[in-house]
Amino acid sequence: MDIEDKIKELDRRNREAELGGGEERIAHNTKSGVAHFAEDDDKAALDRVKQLLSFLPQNYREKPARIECTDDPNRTDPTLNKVVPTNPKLPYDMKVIIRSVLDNNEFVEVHERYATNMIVGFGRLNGYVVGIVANQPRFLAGCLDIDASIKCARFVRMCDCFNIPLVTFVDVPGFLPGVSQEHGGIIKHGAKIIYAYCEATVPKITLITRKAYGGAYDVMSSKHHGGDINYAYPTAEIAVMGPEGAVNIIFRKEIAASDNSEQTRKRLVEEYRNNFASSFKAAELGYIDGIIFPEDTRPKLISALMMLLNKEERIPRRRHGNIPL
Amino acid sequence: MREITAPMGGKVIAIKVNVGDTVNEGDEVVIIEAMKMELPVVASESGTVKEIKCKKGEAIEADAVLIVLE
Repeated sequence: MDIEDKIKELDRRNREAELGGGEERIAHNTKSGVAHFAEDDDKAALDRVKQLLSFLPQNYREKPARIECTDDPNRTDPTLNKVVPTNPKLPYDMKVIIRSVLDNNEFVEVHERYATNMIVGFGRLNGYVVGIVANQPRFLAGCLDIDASIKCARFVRMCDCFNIPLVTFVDVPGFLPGVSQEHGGIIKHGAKIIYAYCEATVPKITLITRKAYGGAYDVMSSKHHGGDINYAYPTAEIAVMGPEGAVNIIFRKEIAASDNSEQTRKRLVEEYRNNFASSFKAAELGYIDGIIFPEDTRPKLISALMMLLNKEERIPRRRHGNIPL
Repeated sequence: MREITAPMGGKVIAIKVNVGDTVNEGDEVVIIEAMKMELPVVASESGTVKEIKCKKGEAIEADAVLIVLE
């Protein structure tokens, strides 16, 4: 091998490492999001393709094929009652809830390693294919950031293209704050989620498990953007912002003027939590269709899906929409 | 030298290891409070704690080095 060949070889290795080939091939799964899956070998990759095709219809006019459901649609799961911690500050694994409610606990996650604060993937409910979108409180507190927004919006549009109903699990404290997010145009990317959900005419079912705050609540398939059936657990907190932050702003003067400011603040936080940041208030206003016990999640989601299966919604004739790219 | 960094900015509310401790991959080493949540920071690999670069109560930026392992 002469020197020129050696340089070429080195150059090739460097490029592979940096550009996501070779040993660093997983970078396109974790960092860029260009690759949706990583499999060990060719056979596993082909099997994955077959599995993904099983979720899709033959063309956009058809619905995905239903398979016979071997799992009881009325199956309840009492362990779900303990998944969401009572302390609202503690994280938990949203995938436990997702797997529990799907047929035979089978969930095929797309983009598993990219933007892990957002979960997307396919599963079946009562034999019917559904697209799952969920916040993951285990990573970045479940905040929406630029990558998660793009991941979510693209998946929602993918499902809408192929008549796949959407089931959205919400536990989101807000959009991720920070200079890099702002400079990256977070609001422009967050808007893609709203756009995608508003545009989607497939059945849209939402379940708020815990936090649903501000703009992030809004974009996650809320009633305001055409959610068909919106459920909440009794533990849900739905508000424009968290009780602590809100009270410090709204009652700043009152807290400063009181004799025991810390006690006043605590009382006001508790009042705000009970009167405003609760699923009952949202239900009273019509933004939540039902408050459900966690153990009943599967039967409730399935009954909503059965009701919505024949949903038909037409969007105005036009050249194409103007998604904020 | 390997470093454990903060996944997001926030406040350090607990440090669960001391210098000289052995940590295993996946162990919680620091807890950060951010966005109304307590986020456990886990060791990305096993090793011995060489240096703790954050203090309890301190506000830290994303990607700040919290713990140095050797």
